[in-house]
Amino acid sequence: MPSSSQGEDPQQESTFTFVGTVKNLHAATMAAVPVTESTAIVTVEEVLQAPPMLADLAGSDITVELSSARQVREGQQATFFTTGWMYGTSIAVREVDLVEGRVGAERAGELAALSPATPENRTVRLQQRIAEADLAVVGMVSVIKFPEGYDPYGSVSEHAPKWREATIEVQSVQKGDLPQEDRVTAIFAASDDIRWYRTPTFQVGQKGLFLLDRREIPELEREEYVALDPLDYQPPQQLASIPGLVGSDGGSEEPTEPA
Amino acid sequence: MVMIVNIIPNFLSGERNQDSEPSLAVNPANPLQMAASAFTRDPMGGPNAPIYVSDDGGRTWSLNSIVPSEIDTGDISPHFGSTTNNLYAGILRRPGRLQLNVLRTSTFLQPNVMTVLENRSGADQPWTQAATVPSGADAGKDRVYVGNNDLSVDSRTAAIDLSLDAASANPAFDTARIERRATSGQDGPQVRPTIHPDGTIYAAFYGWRSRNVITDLVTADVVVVRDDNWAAGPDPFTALVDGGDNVAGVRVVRGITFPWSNAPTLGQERLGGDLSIAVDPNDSSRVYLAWADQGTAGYTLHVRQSSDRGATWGPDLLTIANAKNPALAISSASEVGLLYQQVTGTGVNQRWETHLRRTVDGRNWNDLLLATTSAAEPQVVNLPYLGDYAYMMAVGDTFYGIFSASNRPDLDNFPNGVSYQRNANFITRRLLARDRMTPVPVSIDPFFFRMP
Repeated sequence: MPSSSQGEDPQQESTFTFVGTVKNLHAATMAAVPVTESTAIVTVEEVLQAPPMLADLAGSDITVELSSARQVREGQQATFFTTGWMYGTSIAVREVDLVEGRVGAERAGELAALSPATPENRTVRLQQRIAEADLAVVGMVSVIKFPEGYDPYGSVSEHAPKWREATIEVQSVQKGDLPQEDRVTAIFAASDDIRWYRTPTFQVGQKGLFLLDRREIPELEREEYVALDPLDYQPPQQLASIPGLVGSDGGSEEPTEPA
Repeated sequence: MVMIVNIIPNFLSGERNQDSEPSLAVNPANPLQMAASAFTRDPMGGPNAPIYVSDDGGRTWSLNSIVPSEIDTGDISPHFGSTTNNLYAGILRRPGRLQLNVLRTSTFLQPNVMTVLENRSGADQPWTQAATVPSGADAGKDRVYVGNNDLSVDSRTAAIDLSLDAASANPAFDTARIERRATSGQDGPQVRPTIHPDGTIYAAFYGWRSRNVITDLVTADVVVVRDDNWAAGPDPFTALVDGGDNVAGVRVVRGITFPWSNAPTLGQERLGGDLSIAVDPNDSSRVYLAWADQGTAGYTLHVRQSSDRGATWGPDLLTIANAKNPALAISSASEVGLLYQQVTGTGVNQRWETHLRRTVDGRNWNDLLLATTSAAEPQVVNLPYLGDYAYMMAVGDTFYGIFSASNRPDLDNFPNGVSYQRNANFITRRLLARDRMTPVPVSIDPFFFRMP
């Protein structure tokens, strides 16, 4: 069942949004889904927001588990805001919100920008990440070492982050204030474990845009700048396409080999 | 006749993720019902992580996003109660680091998100076992035991989080510390309990005694502890005392070494110890143990047996080089099964072979090759490559298990057969997307099996 807190927009929970027409009430598209009064078969007419693997569902019948308060009728068209539930020979989704008919073009455009892996989504997410970051700099990594006070041989888990510290020689500050002139240090996870492999890793000579947050590192018992979001590093060849990036020369050069 | 099924659902034929580290739960009250887990993300990136579910004995599987963890989990290990139809799971929840949650549902096929029973930080690699008390004053109560490496404490980290009434509305959990010797600073992440219906509970773990930070070699004892009454007493898991030092926990082997590599080491997989233990459902005095150490032939699995409740152990019954992910189970016919994965060959011709071996006398083992897949394809994306473990259990006289492997659809890779739910052309040996035309790259998938 939808679990949004009172007052929050339930549509923000949605990861799969589509325009569809209710085909059958109290029904399901696959045997694995238990049919209840809340399940309905809906024909997808237009996908507005979806991950790439599921963006081609227009024309398909899927199962929607309607929220408990929802009253719909067969033949009704609506825009369904949903999250994933069951994937088998078909899919079943949980409705978190519903709007009669098709949402307007502006809202549809907003939803399209939320679809993962689309160029629009990447731009939107990167802009959001830049807006959230405490510090954004263009520069080059000059040193990699263990953070001060970090015991790399302390207690271990297979999910240990393997903290490293990168010194970044700053070419330009895009946001925030540098703690010291022309350089900043940032903590990153060098582990390839399932827990960390999506986070950025750095090497000496690496150039680009670095997005950093001030965070408490439990093992160090202090705050440091960290780069732990997959978007926290953008290579030089991407910088020209980032809106609002000011006065950087990071657009074309490849990282040089470390000395 | 073995049945092997690639459990990726047909609707997700286009997926290409490294779905490693599988685990499996079969409902003893209704063995047609099963739940499986792996490092599988919710395909829509939603607020709940998925488990695989089947209600037809494992022939078909779907993905059901009911685990309260954002998109995916860290480690996850499910297990059913014996008779209550409750499914329990120990997970490392996201977001979070080593955030242990113990979960429960009585409706694992439905959309209801699992209920959180316990939530605490600092615990690694939860390993869940559950049983329903069959008789006596507590008959009908579910007992849940979640082995874990509790890194929130210093030094003696091997632990079991347990509840004596896990099916109740608000079950209480305690943490039993099972390491009673000095360590090098911690124990290993593998803490493996196993339950007998008479209330005997064994648990195995690596007690780390030293660690060479230059070579990354760990020196450890393989320790087995035992409780004779559901760990319900004031000093649980102290029934088995080592005659050498009079400390609770028999050291089955002492001073073995193994690498703590946390990097691709064997067939693109990391190494760091492997453990499995199983008790005979017909005789709680008879218990089998498998562990890995660094032998002269390489990373080596050993299997041994005790017939006196863990007090003494015989010699190796099996010794298998370049192998990991052991999973022991004992059927109602007292047949012992061992699942494991072994690297054979050299260089680009290396293969991961997944074996099921069985014995009734402990000496003569048959050997069924479930899969032989390339150890080089696909290229590793993250660790673990296949998993820090696989799993097998027995219900009645049937073995049910799960392993992860490279998913190229090639019948030569599955000499005893396989079925795929996802679109696959076994003639061209290509995976295909939902449109049955677009090729999909080879990746790692979980494979369920049932024998017989």
